[in-house]
Amino acid sequence: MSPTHDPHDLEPLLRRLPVAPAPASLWNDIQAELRAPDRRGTLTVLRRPLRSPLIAAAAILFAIVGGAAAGILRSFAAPSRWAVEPLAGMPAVAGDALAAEGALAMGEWLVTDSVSRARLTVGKLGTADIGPGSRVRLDRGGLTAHRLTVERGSLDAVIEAPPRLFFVRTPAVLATDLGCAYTLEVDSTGATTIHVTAGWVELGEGDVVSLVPAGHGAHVEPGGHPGTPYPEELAPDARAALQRFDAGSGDPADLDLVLAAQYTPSHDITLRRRSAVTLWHLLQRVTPDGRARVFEQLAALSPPPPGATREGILALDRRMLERWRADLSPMWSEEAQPWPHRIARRLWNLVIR
Amino acid sequence: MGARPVAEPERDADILEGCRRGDPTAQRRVFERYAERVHSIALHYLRGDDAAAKDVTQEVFVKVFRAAPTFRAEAGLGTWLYRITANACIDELRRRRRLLFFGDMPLRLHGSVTASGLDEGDAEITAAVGRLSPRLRLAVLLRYFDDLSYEEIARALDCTPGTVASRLHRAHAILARELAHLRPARRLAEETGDVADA
Repeated sequence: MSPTHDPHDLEPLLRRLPVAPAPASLWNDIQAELRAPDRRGTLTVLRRPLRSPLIAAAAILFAIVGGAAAGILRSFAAPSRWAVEPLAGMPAVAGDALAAEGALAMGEWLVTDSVSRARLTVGKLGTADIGPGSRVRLDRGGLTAHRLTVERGSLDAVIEAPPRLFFVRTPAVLATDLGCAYTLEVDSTGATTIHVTAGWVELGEGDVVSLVPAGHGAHVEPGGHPGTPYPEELAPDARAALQRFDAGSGDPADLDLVLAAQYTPSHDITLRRRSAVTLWHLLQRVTPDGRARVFEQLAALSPPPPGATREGILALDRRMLERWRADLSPMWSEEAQPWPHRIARRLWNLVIR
Repeated sequence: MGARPVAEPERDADILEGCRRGDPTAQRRVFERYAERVHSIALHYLRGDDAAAKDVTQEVFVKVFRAAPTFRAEAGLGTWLYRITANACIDELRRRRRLLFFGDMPLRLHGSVTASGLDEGDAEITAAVGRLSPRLRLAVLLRYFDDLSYEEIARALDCTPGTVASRLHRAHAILARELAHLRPARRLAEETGDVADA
């Protein structure tokens, strides 16, 4: 039986809290203070003169940081209407044919037929070219979030901005721009395929997401997990096997197929990098038996860092997985960033998330 | 610790009236009645920081005497004074935390307390209360230094009696665990099932 905490039992103890008589000099101090002009709020400041400069410095710093943040937010503010121009044929905005440059308002649909294309200006972030046979809506996104829904068709985005400002939702997945260029295709069933040509895209939301770097693609079926990223040159049968793991129906033969298609330590780093992306994501999508095989193959490319153990990874310990991912990330990214950029990027991620 | 003086509510109105007029005698009465408890609460809340507790005590009485002319006496003098004490303690802790880069203060025992013949148990009780979170600590100090009711503590802390009950419950649970070895042996034996029959 665990000890209870009867307050009646504790009371005699707590009443033994030592009393501390106020210093005798305090009465005179109080009277002196009362006789002095009312300097409410300054009493303790005067006792500790160091505080005033500290407070002033903090206020100045706060004003500078606040001003800079406001400036940044203003420059990335999402407009309520996006400029749209026809690139080919006659796209339609809100049902009206668009012959010259126009605007797409919140909630309106941009529709292209089999021959028309259009270019959307994504605030000050970049552009999104809408391919033939597309149906795209501008969504409300808050202060800095630029949001589109692609119901079907294709979108070719080029974004030059900090991460997490441009979002595209399809029937299958949410694609979050992490500073990149990519093409996204949505078929008539809502299945979405993405090809990243620069930077990174995050697919999904919540606990299970995929991070797709440049040179990789991913496929997501409606209702399925965010697709495991794969190198663009991966054989079609291995891609199909990956999709079965994303759908939760992959079997050992599929795993054989995927593992056999990966690059090995004998390949150069560029090729190994491509396999590491796939294998790290695959860890979370295979059965425990298969996970051990994936672990061995990934560890052969790049062993887990200190603090990430085999047992922890096989148990899908979130912190260990993230630690390994962070360790692998430089290998995934082709774009070496100078340290001020890395710090700025981390700060931005902290603020915007 | 000795017997604590009990507030005399029937005379508060007269004393308060004197304070409103700025009568030093009335102010002295208020000081004599409450200074020890205000200072003790501040000292324990600020985990033994003597200078800060003195500052807080002085600040409380200066505020009370300056604000007395506008005090409408909807709450009792004591409740009002404890409310000012609570706010002053919280403000002081906030200021100190900023200076200490968000760290809590080290636990130090007040000089006069350590010199007043504390036995080992008292020091453990002081330390255990000092380890409570500031919110829980303040509720415990108001409860046990002046026998305030839950309603009075709630008015002093500007929260509901339910919140007070919850804080005290959590504080009691923590203290019961930490001070188990100081509690009456019989009670402890009953709780741990070591007593075969009563």
